[in-house]
Amino acid sequence: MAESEPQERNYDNMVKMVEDLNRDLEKLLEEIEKLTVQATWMAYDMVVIRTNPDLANSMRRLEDAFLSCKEEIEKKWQDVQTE
Amino acid sequence: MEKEKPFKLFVPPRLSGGQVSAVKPQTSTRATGQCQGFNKCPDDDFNFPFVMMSTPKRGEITDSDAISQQVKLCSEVDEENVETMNELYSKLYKEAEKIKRWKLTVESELKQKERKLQENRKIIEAQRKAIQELQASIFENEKLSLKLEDEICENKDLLKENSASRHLCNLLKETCTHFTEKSTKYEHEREETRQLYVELNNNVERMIMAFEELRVQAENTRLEMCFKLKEEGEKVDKFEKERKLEVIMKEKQISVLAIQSDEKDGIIRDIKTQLQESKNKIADLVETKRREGDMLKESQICQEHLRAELEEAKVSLQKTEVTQKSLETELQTAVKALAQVTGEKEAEVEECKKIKALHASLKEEFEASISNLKILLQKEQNRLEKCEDESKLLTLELRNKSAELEEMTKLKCDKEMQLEELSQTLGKVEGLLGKKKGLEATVENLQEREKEIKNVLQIREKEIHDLKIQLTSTAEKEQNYLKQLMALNTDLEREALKNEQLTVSINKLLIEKEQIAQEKSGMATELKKLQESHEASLVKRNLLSKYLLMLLNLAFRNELESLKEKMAKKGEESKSKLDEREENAKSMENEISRKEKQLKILENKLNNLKKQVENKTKCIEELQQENKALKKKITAESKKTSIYEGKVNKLQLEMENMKKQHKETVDIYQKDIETQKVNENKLLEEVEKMRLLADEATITQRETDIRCQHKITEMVALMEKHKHEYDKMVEEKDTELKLYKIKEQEQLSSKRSLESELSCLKSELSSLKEQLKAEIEEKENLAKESPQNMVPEDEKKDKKIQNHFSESPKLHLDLDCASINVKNKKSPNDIPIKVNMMEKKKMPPARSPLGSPSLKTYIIKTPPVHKLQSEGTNLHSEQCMRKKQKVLLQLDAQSDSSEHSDLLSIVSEEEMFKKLYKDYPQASQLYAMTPKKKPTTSNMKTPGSVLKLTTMRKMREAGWTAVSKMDRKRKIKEAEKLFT
Repeated sequence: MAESEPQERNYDNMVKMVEDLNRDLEKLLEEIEKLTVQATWMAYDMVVIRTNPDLANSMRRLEDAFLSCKEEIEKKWQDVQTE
Repeated sequence: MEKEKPFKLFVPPRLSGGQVSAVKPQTSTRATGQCQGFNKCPDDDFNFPFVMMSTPKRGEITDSDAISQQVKLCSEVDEENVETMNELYSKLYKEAEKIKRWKLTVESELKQKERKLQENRKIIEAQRKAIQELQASIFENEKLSLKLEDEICENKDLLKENSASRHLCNLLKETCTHFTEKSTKYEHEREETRQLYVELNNNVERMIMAFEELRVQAENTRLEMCFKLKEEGEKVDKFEKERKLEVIMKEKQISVLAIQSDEKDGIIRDIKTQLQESKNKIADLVETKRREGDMLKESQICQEHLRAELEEAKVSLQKTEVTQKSLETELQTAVKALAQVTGEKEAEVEECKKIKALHASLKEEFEASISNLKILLQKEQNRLEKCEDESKLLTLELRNKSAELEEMTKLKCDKEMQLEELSQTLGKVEGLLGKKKGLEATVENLQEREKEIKNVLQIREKEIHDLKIQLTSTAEKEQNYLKQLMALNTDLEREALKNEQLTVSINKLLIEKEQIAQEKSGMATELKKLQESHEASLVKRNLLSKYLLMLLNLAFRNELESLKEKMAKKGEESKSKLDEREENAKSMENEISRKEKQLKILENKLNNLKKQVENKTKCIEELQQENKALKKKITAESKKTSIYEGKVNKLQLEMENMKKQHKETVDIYQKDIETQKVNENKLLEEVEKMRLLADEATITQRETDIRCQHKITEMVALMEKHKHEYDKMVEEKDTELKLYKIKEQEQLSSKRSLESELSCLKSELSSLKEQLKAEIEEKENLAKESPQNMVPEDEKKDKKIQNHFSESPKLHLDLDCASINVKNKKSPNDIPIKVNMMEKKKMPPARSPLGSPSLKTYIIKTPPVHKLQSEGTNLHSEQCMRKKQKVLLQLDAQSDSSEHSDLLSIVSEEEMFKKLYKDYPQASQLYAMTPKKKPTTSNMKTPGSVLKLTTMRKMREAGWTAVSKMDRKRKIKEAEKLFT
């Protein structure tokens, strides 16, 4: 009869613990959900940013423009030289 | 397990006890039955017949049955002790009774025990049952405890799990917080990166824009430059073409002018040639006139001469006829005289034959004498040849000098010839000058006429030139105007072409404008499309995000559901959905912000396009400006055309200047002709100067000729002197030859006397040999007689021989001994006289009795055995000889005072010449030959030495005076030749 009481207490505690745990876990799950969503968004954004063709295109354009400009300038000089 | 142990302990005894208890009652029952039967039996046995007999046996059997061992033991004992059986029976009986009593007691005890046993068995069985029941209860309890323990363990595990989950929860919380922090950071960073991306994009686009602008600018600048270059090139080409045209024009003009000038030059030359021809003709005519006049005069003179000659010829004919007659008479007289002379000549021929015979006899005599003389002559000729060689050398020199003289004479002749030529030329020149003066006068007249003609010609030429110039100028002007018109037409065409090009370019630009507008509209449509696509993309994005979230949520939900089914399982989907919606809203907001940014980017693009449009509008404006500039250039080129017209005018002026220059050049040429005439006068003056110089040269030549003649005379005198000297030398040599001949005759006579002496000596030797033989025979005889007396005899022999020899050459030995004694006194080696005597034994036959003995021969012919001894003597003798020779020479030199002086003079001359000809070793060598001969001559010819010296000195002085003016080398050579 002496052991039954702490067991009961323990049980109560256990119940409380479990309840707390459940609550915590739920909260955590919610947080994790949020975080996962955020992380996925982040990843998505990252992917979007990284796989953004605008930059590459713009860079290519820049390159093309630069090269065309260079060619033009060189042409000019060459033409001048030739002429 | 610990609890099980007690259960186990209880169980086995229960089972055993049960069995025991189950058996025991049976045994007890049986024992009781047996006991009962046993109890009955003994009563029966006693009743049986054989009980008497078999009582012990029965007893024994009972004993054996009951107590087998005891029985056996008793039987064994009974058997052994049969006699004691009775006693034993009694005892047995007693014991049987005792046993019976014991039996009864035991049976009672057994009964009691059996009862107790039964009771105990019942108790045991009850206990067993109780134990079994207890054991079952214990088992159940144990099972329950095990279950409880398991449950406790599970509980503990669960607690642990709980704690772990708690820990995990805490960790998760921490991680969540970290994650949230990091996520916030990352979000910030993401936003920053986005912004940076946006900025980068903007920058890149700006860069692109800038590059494009730059490119456009570069293109524009390049195009401008190209246009400018092309324009400039075209301008340059135009200028070049124009310049070329101008140059060609000028060249053509120049060529035309040159041709004209050439033509005029040709005309002038033709005129000049005509003039010259006319001059020549005039001159020829004048000359022919003169010649004809001269010819006439000459012919007249010739006629007169011929007439005179005719008269003379007539006179001479008469004279010749007279002379012929006289010659015929003379011929007749001469024939007569010839006949007389032939008779006389025949007589003379006979006389001559006689004389020839006499001459032949004389010839033979003469030939004999000639042969003798020839031998002498050959010797003298040898000497003469030497002299001739020297004379040849002299002759060669003379020839050289004569050649030089000839050269001089040739030069003279040449100069004379030149002078003559010059004089002739002068005469000619004078004649020519006279003619010239006449010609000049005529030429002047002609020139005056020419000048008049020239003036007329010039006036006419000028008129023609003016007309031509006017014509050419008009033609040129027309051509120039035509060319200008052509050039202007071409310029107009070019400008029209340019205008067309410009219109084309403007049309192109308009087309480009339209294209740009179309592009603009396309860009607007693209923009609209982009906006539409943007909206569509927004919708798609929302859907995509929803799908993604749904998927993620489903995945999580499945997990959550699995967890919640375990934990709670229900009632949180609504919350999650709410959260999701909120998150969706947030994401949507984010997306909207992104789209807004994209919109901004597109707006930027639009702005860029607008800028491009503006740039293109600027380009159009620039092109319009270029059009304006081109128009301005057209105006400028029109101005240039006006300038070129001015240049053409300038060129015409230059043409006029050129014509003026041409005239000036013609004037200059005329001036040159005048200057050349002046030069001619100057040259004539120079000719006069040359004449004067020639006169001077002739004077100098004459002077030199006189000098040369003087020198030649001097040289001839010297040569004559030398010839005289040589003649004297020849005479001296002849005298010497005579002396030598006399000496030879003397030697021949001495030879004969010596031969006679030799024959005498040979006879003496033969007699002496006979004496020797006789004495040897005597000696042999004596040896045979007495060999002991040998030594003294030998000594005697020696003495005899010595005495014999000492007697024969006594005459010579006195002199020789005296000389040798002197030598021996001087010599360090004291050699006895006897040795010398022995040496001289063999010599006497070689010596001549007359005594002109040369000490040399005597010393040389000493025997080689005594050389060691005689070496010293020889050396001394040689020294003595030298000394003697020197003395003799000194004596000879001192014999005549004049000769001494002569020798000294020679020495002094030698020294003088050595000093003089230090620089000329050949000369010194040549001189070295002279002193060898001179001493002989001087020695030989003593009396005429003084005269000779005087003559020599005179010659030398004459030579020095002659040579003093010549060069040094020549002086030396002449001196050599003179003094050899």
